Amino acid sequence: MIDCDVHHVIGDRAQFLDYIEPGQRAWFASQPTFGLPAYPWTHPVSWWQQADDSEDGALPAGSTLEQVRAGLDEYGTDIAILNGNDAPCLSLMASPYRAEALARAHNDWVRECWLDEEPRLRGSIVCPAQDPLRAAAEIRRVARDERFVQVLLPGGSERPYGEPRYLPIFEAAAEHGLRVAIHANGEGIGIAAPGGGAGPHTFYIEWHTVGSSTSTMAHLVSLVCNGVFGRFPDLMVAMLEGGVAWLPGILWRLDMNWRGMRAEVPWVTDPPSEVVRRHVRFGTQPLEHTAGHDALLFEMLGAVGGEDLLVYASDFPHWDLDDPSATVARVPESWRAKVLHDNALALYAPRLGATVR
Amino acid sequence: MTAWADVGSWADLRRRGRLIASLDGREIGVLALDADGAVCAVRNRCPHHGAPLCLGHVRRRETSAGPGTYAVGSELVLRCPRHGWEFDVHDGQCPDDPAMRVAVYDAEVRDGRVLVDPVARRRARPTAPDDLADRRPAVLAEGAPCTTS
Repeated sequence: MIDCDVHHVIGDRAQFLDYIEPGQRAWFASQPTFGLPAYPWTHPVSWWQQADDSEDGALPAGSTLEQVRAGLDEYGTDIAILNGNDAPCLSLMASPYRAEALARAHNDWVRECWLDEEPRLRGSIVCPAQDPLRAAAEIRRVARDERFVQVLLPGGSERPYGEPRYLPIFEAAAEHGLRVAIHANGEGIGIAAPGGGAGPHTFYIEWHTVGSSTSTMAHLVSLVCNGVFGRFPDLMVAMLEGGVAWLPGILWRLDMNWRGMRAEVPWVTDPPSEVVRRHVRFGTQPLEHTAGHDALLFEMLGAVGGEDLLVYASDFPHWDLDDPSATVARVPESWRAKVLHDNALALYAPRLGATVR
Repeated sequence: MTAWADVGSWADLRRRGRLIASLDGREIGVLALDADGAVCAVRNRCPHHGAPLCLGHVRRRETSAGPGTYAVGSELVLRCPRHGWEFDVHDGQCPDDPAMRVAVYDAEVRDGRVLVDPVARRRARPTAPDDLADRRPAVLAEGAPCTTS
């Protein structure tokens, strides 16, 4: 089983700070959250599985290698892709210079403290997307290590990722057979545009309902309409934690609009839904609850090729994770092998194929 | 063999932009493709949502050499005034949806009159002259549909 979304946390600040370049170490040490921007609201209970907050000072799951290993053992995970926690939002810091230093430290810390220690883990490259040339340089620096399988961008952004300014990031990823994951996170924080399209959210529940999903939709549509996949025919993108129930509706709507408005984007020569089927995959978590209408959900997803589009994602160790048994129980039986393993293996084939059956 | 219908004058077609006639219970629109009398005839009902397709305009379809670049291609399409779906003026095929096609008819201008074969054509025709894009504004003037019988 391949888990495309496992989060690991900086549990040992002193250890992490050693990876920051000396000239900036004191500044980062003075920042309680390494200078990363924060949401204006707070989580009503906890970002973590509640048991992890049961004792004062207890580290949330995902803070240590042992905790992550225990999660892999519990779920029977063969390969897990680490997606950090807050770190991807470094691309929403005002300063690209601080962001670059933090990205370099995080990527080196992932390599030495996680990938070197646990063979079931694979890494994601974080990068200062607010400065795409710096981001591309960092991607190329880290890409030499084949255990990094993707570039990780947060859902929060200044502009949708199909914008030409971001091309250096996709170019560097495509050049090295890296996938690009866009993980819902950071909408409306730091220099990011407000989430949801109607102004800042008041509550976490709003962000969790629309902030995370609408950014995913916006990036998806932007990538297609700007022809990013036309420029990089081998590029594959993974959309994580933005939900999936909306996918048929967006693809149907986009196809309909493309037929009437293709003159605006004449480089999109195939129906957008076909472009998405070739180039984009979607993490299963959070798989929307359907009030008894799972058959309807999967019929709709099936109508847009969902069987081949979904990749299992747990979101371990966050409070709203979907463990594999819960996902398996809901996904159609004929989809299960694809969703739990085959689709992810095909997605990450350039870097996973040599090391995973 | 059916008789070709006289649906109006070439001068009227040029002035109005299109002629729309009711033939054998179907509305058929005739639109000019150039200033020399090349015309196309298309059923006046968009297969997408039933809109009056022939109130749209004939245009050269946009193409692109790659993301961010625009060009005007050689394919002539009739663009529906509602929703913007496009149909090849020669064979009626929607280039963006293989399942969508509108009926097209043989039509020509003879002695200043516009004639239409009311039996739908199945075969494709060659592409219109290359200089249509330059001349189109003068040829395809705005105009209300005229109904003849």
